Amino acid sequence: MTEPTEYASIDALLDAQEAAGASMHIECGREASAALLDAARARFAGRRCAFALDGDAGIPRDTVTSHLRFFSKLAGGAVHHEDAIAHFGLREVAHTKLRDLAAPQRALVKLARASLFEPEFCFIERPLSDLDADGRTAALTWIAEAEQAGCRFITTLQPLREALLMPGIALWHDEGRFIAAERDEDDAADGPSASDDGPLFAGDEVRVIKIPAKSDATTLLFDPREIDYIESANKRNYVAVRGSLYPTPLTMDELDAQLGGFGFFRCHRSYIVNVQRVAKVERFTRNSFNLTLNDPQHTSIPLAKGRADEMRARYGW
Amino acid sequence: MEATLRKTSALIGKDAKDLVKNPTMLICCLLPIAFTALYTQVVSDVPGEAAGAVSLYLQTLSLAMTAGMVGSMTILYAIAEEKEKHTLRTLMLANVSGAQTLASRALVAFAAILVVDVACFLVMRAPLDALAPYLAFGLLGSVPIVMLSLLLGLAARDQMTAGVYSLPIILVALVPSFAMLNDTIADVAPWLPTGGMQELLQLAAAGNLLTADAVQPLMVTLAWIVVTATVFALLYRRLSRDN
Repeated sequence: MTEPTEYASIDALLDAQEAAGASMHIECGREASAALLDAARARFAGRRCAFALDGDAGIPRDTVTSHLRFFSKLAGGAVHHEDAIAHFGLREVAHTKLRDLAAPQRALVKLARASLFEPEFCFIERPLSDLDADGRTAALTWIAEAEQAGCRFITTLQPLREALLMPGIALWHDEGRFIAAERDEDDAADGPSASDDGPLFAGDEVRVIKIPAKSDATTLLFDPREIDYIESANKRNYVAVRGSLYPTPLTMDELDAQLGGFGFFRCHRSYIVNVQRVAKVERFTRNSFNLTLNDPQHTSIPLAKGRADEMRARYGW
Repeated sequence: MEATLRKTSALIGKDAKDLVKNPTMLICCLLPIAFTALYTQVVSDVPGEAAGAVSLYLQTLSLAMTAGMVGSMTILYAIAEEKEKHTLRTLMLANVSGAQTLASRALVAFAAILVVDVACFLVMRAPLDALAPYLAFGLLGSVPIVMLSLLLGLAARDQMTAGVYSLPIILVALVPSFAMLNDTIADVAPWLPTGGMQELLQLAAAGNLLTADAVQPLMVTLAWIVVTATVFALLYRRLSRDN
């Protein structure tokens, strides 16, 4: 297994970003995000940039329309504010004051404002965090379209799962270093997953499968039917149950092998999803897929391009 | 250049609309008109020979109130709110310069001062031939107040500090209006930012505007404009960086 790519500083990260001409989505805290913003502003000063930051709430007395109309004028009017309102599904709140918007709508207004600038470079803090399932679809569609049109994004977010939903390179920040998350395409040579080896159950053998996970000093044993998905992040694996993540000592391959017979699918190198929980499969661009779960949070899980065909064949969609 | 004009005109439109939508700023614009109406009512039964002096006093008082309240609040409070709500940062990140933001705020403040001055003048029912000097000296006297407000607006961290900073500006603007009530104030008033405006208005009313007496108040007012503009230019870069 190869060591993941690491960048020792923000400058090294931005150098790599420019060299690769790729978007970067970074799991990090507020301090690192602020440092990235300063560095990116300095580096891309001469270009057509757009920024959508946490806390950019606008003038509370402004309506969505007046806020976006103003920024459309500032941007030169290349994108009409009504088009942005339509794209981000803000028609119903177009005449609502910004102070009266719910958090998902406020987050969409920020993205709509960034879209007015037709940016070459776009920096967004927490692009998907406050969004509901529809909002995430609108945001991911715009990000994918803008990416294809040549815009390069730097987004800072939590958790890493959101980074994997967007086109580009996903990274996480640890003590000043930026570490690239493992790319699913690297997995292609790994061959079929253990779940393809055949049925786990043979004859009338009774087998009990419980997935161990830690919560403080307690070891929890989860019934596979309780689990929404498995996530691998920051070199640890987590079991997602009812909106909480519990670390598990099992490897992704072990989990894949155990859960394969219970309707779980390895949709990404870092994700195993309970297919019963999948409510929606979305495709934003040729290479960008997303599974939306029917859990209370409507969690979005990345579906790797290379695994989409297998999933389509197995579940017939 | 075209981009600068487009951005500044968009900012002026936004700031003008915000002036009407923001209750605090709107009330500060309406207060001088309300006070002028109140004072006009109080002195309405003054006998004929004193009516001219009372009218002149009302004119100087309303100009001072407008310069102090409208000049300070439409700038200081607005800039502080933009900082508190991070909208100033959003503007800067949208390639709007600090100079464009401040120019827009200053132009909207002067327009608001002009409108409120006209409304006050109509409310006090002064002779119409006094309108031109009234507006001209009103705007001239407002320049140092606007410059001070821009400076303190950059220094204010939030709306609460803006409220504190606006008080001395309003007080300094109003002091010359009380010159006729106290000898000490009368000695100090001519040297204050709105003192020259008041003296010039009195000279114009007496028909002595084009005499040597007008030189001192004119020079005092111009000196205040130069001093506040210089201090603003010196501190602008530092305060902008702190923001």
